[in-house]
Amino acid sequence: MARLYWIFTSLVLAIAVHAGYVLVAPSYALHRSLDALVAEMGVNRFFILQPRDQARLFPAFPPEHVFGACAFDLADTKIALSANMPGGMWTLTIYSATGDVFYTLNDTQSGTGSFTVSLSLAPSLVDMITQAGTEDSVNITGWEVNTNEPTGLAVFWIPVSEEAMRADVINTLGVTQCRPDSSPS
Amino acid sequence: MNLRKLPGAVLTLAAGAALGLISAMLAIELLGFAPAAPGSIWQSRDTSPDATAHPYAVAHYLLQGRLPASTDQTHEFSADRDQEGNRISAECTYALTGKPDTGHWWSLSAGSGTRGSDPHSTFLTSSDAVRNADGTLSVTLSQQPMPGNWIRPPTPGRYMLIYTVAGFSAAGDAGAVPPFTLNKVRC
Repeated sequence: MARLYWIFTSLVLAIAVHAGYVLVAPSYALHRSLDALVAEMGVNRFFILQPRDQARLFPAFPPEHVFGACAFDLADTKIALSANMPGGMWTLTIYSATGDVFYTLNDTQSGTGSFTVSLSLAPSLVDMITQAGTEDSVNITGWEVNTNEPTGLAVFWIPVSEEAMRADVINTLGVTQCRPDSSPS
Repeated sequence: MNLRKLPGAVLTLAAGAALGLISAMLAIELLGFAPAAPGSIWQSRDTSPDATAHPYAVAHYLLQGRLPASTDQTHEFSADRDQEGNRISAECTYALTGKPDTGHWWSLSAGSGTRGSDPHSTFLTSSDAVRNADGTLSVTLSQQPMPGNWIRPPTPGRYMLIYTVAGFSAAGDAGAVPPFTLNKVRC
């Protein structure tokens, strides 16, 4: 009986370690990776990824391609992500702090190169009960994105065919803004 | 508890913890990894939120310090074997042929596939590749410079090819499947 108990306990421990590793270790690795970026660039601020960060986070893309990013923190504020993209192909991907993609946009879907995406924290259950009219709200409405994840990373990608064009693309993408948005919802 | 049984109990718990850790690492490496098409040498990880192995597929990228590509925007495929099923080696020369869709942006690169190493040596993209008159593409993978489309493998030893494609109109776009075959020329 005692042997059965220990075998059962060890199986439960195996399941716990398995789940813990799969759910915690990857998030921890991403946190460490993003913490280095945040320490250098700050939160709620747009920046062009440095070549070393680009090679680390997106190694399958050629080094001449341009990546811009904003590490956001929605705990205390909404964020407005305003971009004026160059012509041609581009994508915007918004990642949660656990590496999940919860919003994507590209040049053909947007229909315009100039846009503002508003990011905000989804209302809590208490807020939804106490505030009238919220039952009609949806998670993503046009340029408005509500998420349960208070932190994450928004990433712009622009493929560049020639190294000589990279500086121009960086200048164009560099005017993108990621800032606290005080406008009402 | 009888103290004589303590070492056995500790050993059993340690074995349980080791089993959980090893099974997690294996699952992250193997689950969610499927051929792009039946019989294809190209494989991809499905990181979409509704994939059954979603946490494992995403964990594979995050543990390498990478961010997974959005499956709505880009697809990434890898191949570590040639058409005969042999591991790709930097000591050999290979011919990569196919007819990629002109409506998509794509990139081919060679990487060691191991964390912390120089992941990708050279890139060939849809904007700089030279196509044959019939629209097909011929690429040579070799340590030595070759005329035409050439990809230099990373450091000697085994490596893998990475095919990244973007610019498709809808999920499941057939143009996203790698159209390339890989044949060994010589070693």
